[in-house]
Amino acid sequence: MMLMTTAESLVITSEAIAIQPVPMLTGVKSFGDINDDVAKPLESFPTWRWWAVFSMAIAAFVIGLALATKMFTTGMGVLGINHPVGWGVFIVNFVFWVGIGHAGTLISAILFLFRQRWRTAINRAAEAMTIFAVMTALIFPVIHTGRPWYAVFWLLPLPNERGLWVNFRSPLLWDVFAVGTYFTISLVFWFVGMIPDIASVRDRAKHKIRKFIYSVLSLGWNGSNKNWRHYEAAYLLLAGLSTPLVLSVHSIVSFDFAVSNVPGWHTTIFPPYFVAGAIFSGFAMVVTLLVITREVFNLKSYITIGHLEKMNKVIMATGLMVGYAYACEFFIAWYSGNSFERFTFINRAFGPYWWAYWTMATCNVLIPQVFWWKKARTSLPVMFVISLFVNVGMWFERFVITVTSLHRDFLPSSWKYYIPTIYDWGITLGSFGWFFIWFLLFCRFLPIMAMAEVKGTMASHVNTNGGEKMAREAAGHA
Amino acid sequence: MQSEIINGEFSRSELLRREFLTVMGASIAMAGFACAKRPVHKIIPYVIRPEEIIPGVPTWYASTCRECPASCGVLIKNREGRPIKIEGNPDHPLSKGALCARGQASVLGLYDPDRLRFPLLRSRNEQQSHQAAWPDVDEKIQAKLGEIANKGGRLKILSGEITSPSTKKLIKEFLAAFRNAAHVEYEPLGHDDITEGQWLCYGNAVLPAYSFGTAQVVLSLGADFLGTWSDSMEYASDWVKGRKLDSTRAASAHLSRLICFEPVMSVTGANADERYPIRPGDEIKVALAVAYELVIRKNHPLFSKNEKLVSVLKSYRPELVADEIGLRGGTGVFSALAAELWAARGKSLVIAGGIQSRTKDSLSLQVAVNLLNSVLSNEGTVVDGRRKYKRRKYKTRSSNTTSLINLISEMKAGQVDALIIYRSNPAYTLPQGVSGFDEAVSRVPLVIAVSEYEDETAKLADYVLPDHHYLENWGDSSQGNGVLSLQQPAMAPLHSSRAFEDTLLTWISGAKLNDWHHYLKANWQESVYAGQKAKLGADNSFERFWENSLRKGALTLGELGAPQPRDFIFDSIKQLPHYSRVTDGMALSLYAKVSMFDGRNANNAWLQELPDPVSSATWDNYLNIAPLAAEKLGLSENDVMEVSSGKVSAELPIHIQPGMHPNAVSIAVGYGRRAAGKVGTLAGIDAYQFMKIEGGKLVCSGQRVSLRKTGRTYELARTQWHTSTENRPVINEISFDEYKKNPAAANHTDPHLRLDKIPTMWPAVEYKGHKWGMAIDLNACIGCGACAIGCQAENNIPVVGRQQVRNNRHMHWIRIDRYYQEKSGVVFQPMLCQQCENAPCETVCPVQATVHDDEGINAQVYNRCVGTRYCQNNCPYKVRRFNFFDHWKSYGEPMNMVWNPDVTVRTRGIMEKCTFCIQRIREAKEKAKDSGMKVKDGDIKPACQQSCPTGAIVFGDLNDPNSMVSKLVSDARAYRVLEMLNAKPSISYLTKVRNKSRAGG
Repeated sequence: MMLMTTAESLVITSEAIAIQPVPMLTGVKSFGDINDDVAKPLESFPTWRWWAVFSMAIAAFVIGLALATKMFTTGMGVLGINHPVGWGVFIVNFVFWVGIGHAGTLISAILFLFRQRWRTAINRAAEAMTIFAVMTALIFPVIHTGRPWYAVFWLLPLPNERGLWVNFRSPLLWDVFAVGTYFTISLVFWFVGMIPDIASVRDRAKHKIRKFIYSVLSLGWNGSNKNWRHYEAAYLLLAGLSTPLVLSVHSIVSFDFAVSNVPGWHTTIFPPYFVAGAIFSGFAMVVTLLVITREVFNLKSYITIGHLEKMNKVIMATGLMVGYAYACEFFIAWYSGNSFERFTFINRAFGPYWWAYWTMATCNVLIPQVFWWKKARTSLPVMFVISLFVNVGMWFERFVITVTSLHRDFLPSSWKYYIPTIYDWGITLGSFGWFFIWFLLFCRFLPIMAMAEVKGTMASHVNTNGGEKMAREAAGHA
Repeated sequence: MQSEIINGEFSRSELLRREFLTVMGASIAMAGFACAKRPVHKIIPYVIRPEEIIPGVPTWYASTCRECPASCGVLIKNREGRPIKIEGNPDHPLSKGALCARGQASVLGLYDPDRLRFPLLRSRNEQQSHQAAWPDVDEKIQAKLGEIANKGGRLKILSGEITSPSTKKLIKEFLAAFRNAAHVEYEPLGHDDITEGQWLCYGNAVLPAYSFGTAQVVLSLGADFLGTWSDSMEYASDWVKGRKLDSTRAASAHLSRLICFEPVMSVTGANADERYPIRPGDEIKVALAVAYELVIRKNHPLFSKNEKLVSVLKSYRPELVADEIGLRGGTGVFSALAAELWAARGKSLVIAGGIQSRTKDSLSLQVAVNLLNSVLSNEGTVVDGRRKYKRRKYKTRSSNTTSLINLISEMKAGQVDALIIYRSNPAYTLPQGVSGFDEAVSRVPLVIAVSEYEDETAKLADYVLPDHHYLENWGDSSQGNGVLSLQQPAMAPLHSSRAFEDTLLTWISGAKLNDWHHYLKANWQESVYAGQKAKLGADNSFERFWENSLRKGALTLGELGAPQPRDFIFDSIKQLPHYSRVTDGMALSLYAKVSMFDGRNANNAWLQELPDPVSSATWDNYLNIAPLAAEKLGLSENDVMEVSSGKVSAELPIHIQPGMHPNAVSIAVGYGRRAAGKVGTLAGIDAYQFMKIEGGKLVCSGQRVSLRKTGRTYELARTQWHTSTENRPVINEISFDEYKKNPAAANHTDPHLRLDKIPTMWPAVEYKGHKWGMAIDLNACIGCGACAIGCQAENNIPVVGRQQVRNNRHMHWIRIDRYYQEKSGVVFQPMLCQQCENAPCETVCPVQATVHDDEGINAQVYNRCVGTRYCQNNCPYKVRRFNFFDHWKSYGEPMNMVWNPDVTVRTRGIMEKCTFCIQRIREAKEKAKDSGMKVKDGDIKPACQQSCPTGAIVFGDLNDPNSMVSKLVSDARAYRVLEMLNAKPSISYLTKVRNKSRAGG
């Protein structure tokens, strides 16, 4: 049961009402070409470019690891956190990375249910990004605790002889369940979705060990009708399960803040605001990664400008939602008459952390407005730069929320500025290293694009006359 | 593991049952080894347990604190043979249980690793010292002393102020063997200006007793009587009696008045109802302007008849003085003040003193103050100057700067053959170079220093002999009002030290008793017991008397009767200068901080880290400068300035201090030590070097200084940065007039944030047994910080060091927040865990490390805490403290002996906070259970309440309607901080009431 829609999408330009189809698959590609384009990089030794980036990622990770080791052995004091700012860069990183993950699930699950076929070229890489982002995010709640060697056990409701339970009323516990569930479901969904493609790679494998590993990973897929029926059903179910997670996981993460009583945190707008922000930053990260990936792995025919443009539109939309949320917060702080709230927001914009606030506002609200122009939406350099700005802005948004609210709360006698130290930044760098190590390994060992899904949804555009391969061979003979 | 062994070794052979069992046994034993994670520590019980010691139960000893000449009575808590906590002795007739921060911290000094452990032989040329043995040292010294005695040589003893009559007697005996021997006493913060003034005006050189409790109006000209001046703890607990209010009788209440004119913002000035910043040296002008009003304007019947007085006073026209100083309120201030004092004559008090006012006119200032007290008939009522009354000896403060200066010139002239320095550090406390002390000492052939540390002065000596810490020694102390207290050791000496008195006894040839303990006892038998025998009951033996005295700690020698006013000696008027206007330059005041005092405790880390009540700074001193002056000079906080006065200059950071006169700056003494030990050396700069010696007198303040920017900054380690309450419902303060009309009035907070009744959906939790709560009276809290140190000692709170304090990571469970309120002044607010009923911290801890117990306490479970710090974020009072590092490791041996065994020592990664001293609650409940009685109100005193000299903190059972805390919480003045958050704190604060009205009572 394949979902059939047209492989074209509609776009309305500013000049005319005329509808122009934007091609979602360019070039002359046959089914075989699709396999070759995606699987070939897995079969050859990685290029020097891959090694260069990989070694940078390893270096970043090692720096983070070294600093983290010092932190584990001497104490949390090497960071910048203090009284009253108990949460700093680490929690900002946690929310940042978890947020990024939501884009992948939205592309994989929600766009699937909405029958947006164009998702098939990007969903594998996006979902991989989600998995690795969540893996990176999960580091932080563990290492930001004073005694992580206990935290990893005691935050889980493991049976014990003393009858000790965790505190189910605490949002941090909800995080454990939410992010844990999110990771599990995303991993299963991603893996199950990949089975037919891994099977393709297995079938092409020449080397004995290679064939063995991919055989194990493909769980004995044989391409039969029965396999495909089970696959489709499982895929739909998992998409259905993942969909609510897009909205719930970051809402739960936002409860870490919203359920507390700190002015600037304690507000009901947080769940939708955070979810919108998550999708905003997640799509920006996907754009950043894909602009590079499609270039390096030569997937420009599949991950077209059209795809990127659509993603930029989502960035626009969610960016506007985030901008609206900022305005809403200010309005409600004034309207509430609560002087703590009013002070908090004035302090954000004009207090000691004004520089963080204005960075956030510029990067998140002002800069993405460029995407109103189609030229900007479809220009690779522009969208790459803007996606980076968006992520910087979103990082600062979490920083503003976490730090400015904590550093000046109820009792003025406890007010104090917070300055992250080299350990904060170094371990953040390490987290980026960790993320990119996994992503690069993914690029090296697993099919970046969902071959089977693309073949299915782009069938009408696929060349049945042998495609590029045949054309090349013919040219070679002639 | 078992299967591995079985499979690996025996898989091929047949395993016999016996072999199997052997292997099982061996593997189980070895499994034990592999699983051992932590090293095993052995606790060794007593083989023969001393009868009175039950491990786990403390024993208490009464003694006397020796950290300053005030000599407050203390109780020493002893656990398993070592002192772990010092508390005030409530049975002491003068201090009545009050003990300042330094007294609380003194227990740490006992275990200071930098203390001298054995005698030292010093080589003055090479500036080196090496260890020696007592017999060796005694032999050498006795030989030398014998020589000097035979030649008729001159021996001098230079010591700090000695209040012990037995020690003084012994010193006299020792000196008898020498001709031209003398004992010079010197305290850097001594009161010789007062005693000299008393001598000039009344004929006896005493430090009078002041009844702060009966004074309705107190005018303080720079005397920090609530902080560092004289017997501040006694004064504080007396003064606060006139500040406590009962709202059920609000309309007819009385509140005393405190008016301060001071050149530095002191703890006393912070508590004043009315305060005027002045320059050092202006005190006498203020005094004489008031005297003008009282004597000339009001035509005083007696004093206006003295022509000399009138002619001097005529020059002090109030409008001239007010204009020169720039008084806010102008001339009217003096007339109003005079009217007020006159209306309260006989029940008012004028005082001045302390190094911040010790200018070249300090003696004149004291004469002026005595004049005012006599004019106001306070002499003989509030001021009690009796010295000898019916054979009872009164405390005479014997520190004498003039004697010291003479001694120095004698030494310089080579007229001293031997100098013994005991508990005195003039190499540090005198201005180097100017005093010539170092040079003078170098001319003395034999110099012996007796002290606990190898300090700056000890480094000039030939022999450095370690003295006992006061907790290791016997002694006595003569107090004012006929009170004698005793000092007894609570521990055998830790090191190879020897009491100074034992040293003297060893050196006195032919000493009958060469044991100080016995000497002391013998002296008491001879001089005290005889007079008291008649009052003793059936068993009137000396042994019984001695034991009872030791147990109580102090003894009142007899009834005093009413003091008699002394006649004013009008000849003293010639000390008073005529008025001359001084408007040039920036004047410097030196002052003492409550934590550092004169610097003797610079090596005590608890005191270094105690935030100054006024500036909240730790670990350093700084230049206090007025906001106006800083603005004019373009300075910001932490700018490093070079301060120069004549040839002396120093570089230190500034602190912008509200309440300073724009032409006055101040620096605290007690810092910049060069040989204090690892903790205290080089913290801050030495301010003593700014002192001058003029006309044989020490001038501490009033020097003109010039300031120069260095362009550098130095971040002061302050614990509180923001000083305004931002109109939040944190501090309630009203004036006395408002209070009389409505004691529940609460101004100074945003009306939007006050809810009279907070709606709630849930039923209140019922506390069936005890419900612990606390009331803190903002009128009684003077900001002294004794509670913070008491808590630190009781709960094993670590010290984090300057750099960590800069990042606000200090660990005090109770802190004194200090706010500057624009309309009224300075307010102190002790802030500790409020033990909220709806605690915001409890809901958010993911591992349930913070829970509520059935008696209302919010309990922190240290071993469950994983350190997510969510509780700290959610606490609106920010009283939770996170261990960022393993600070407990800084308590190296023997300092770890100070830890309270009843309280866990926390490692890093764990959150901690005040527990209402739950270990004390537990102890009291268990005692009550054992004796079959109930816990009574007042049985449980958390460390903070116990240390508070003014009784500002009251803890108790809110479920008991008769408890003190229930009465205070139901007082109309009671309010909760940030009440509208509905955290339902168990601590109520009592609104601060300041007496702004001028009516004299």
